[in-house]
Amino acid sequence: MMDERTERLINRKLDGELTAAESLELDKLLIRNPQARALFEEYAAMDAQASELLRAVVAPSVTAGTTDRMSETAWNPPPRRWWYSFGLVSGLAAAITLAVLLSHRAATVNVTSPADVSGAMVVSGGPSPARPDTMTTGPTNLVSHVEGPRRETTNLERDVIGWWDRESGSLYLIEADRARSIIEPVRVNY
Amino acid sequence: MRPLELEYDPHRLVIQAIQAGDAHAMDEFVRAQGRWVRAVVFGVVGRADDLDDICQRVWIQVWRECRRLDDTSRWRAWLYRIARNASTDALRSGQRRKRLQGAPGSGSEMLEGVPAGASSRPDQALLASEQEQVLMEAIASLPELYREPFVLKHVEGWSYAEIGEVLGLPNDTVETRLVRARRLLREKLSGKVL
Repeated sequence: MMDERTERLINRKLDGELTAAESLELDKLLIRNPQARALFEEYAAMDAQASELLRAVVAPSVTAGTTDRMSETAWNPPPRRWWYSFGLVSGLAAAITLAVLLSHRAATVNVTSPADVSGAMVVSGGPSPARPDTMTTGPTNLVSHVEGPRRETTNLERDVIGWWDRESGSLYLIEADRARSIIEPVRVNY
Repeated sequence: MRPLELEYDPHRLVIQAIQAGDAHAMDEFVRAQGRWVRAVVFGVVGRADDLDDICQRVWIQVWRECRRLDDTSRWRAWLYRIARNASTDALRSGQRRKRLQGAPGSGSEMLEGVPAGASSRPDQALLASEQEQVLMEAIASLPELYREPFVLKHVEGWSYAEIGEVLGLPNDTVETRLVRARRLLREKLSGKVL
């Protein structure tokens, strides 16, 4: 049985971790002790074979394809900070409010009639060349275009902004509640 | 007075480029770190047949999660953890599959995909292949605790300090595990011609 110190020195030698003093000590041991010499040779042979074999086993196969597959994988966006989301939402709200106010000042017909207003919120069908791309309109105009989905409302203080999408042939409308400063998409009763 | 030591790690720049979404940097990273990651996976799993699949999962996870790595100086330990977790997951699911199928594992599957010897003569190649199989089975049968540093040492030739940095172990522990790995391997191979 090999003593612990000799075995450790042999291991350190094979691992390239011997200090100069330890190297000298091991050399003397190997000369004096044939058992230690045999163990050193056995370990050295085993190490050489293990290195060769393990390198062959773990040799990377072609790495091409790894990054290809990764590029197919969705890139994780950076985690959003609260102030980023807050700023985004605030900015968006401000932009919409501004757009509403500007449209209102330009030529808005307000929906201020105390009577119930019936009108279409989304008008599907082919675009009419006579219609403007953007329109602000009151209930009377709306009703004149309407066929299909209808809304019922008893709201008194609302602005209605509409714009015409030539591609889809739809009229999009949003309502702004002036009293409560709330902007919300139009609800549609089908 | 000791001079100021500045550690410059070029891989940190690569990591930062990957964090910015640079696919070329990722490719370079895979090529540069691929071998030791495979060594870690093999060290944990002890088989060669699943190596490609597991490594693929490791790199995809690296690509997905590198933005979460705040301290880029610790990238090695981070990568090791990903490789280790992927390996243990694969090991667990493999054991579950084996239990369900009721099929015992054979030693030959450990060497699947390994070139059989360097010799071109069929008889020598066969002999080399048998010797390799014996050695491979012995390495694979080592406890994971010892197999991991042993494989890293023999694949990468790393120092105790380098192995310790990746595995999160002090140098003395790395040394002790390597001593025990060699001792166990010798016992397992005694009487078998190598």
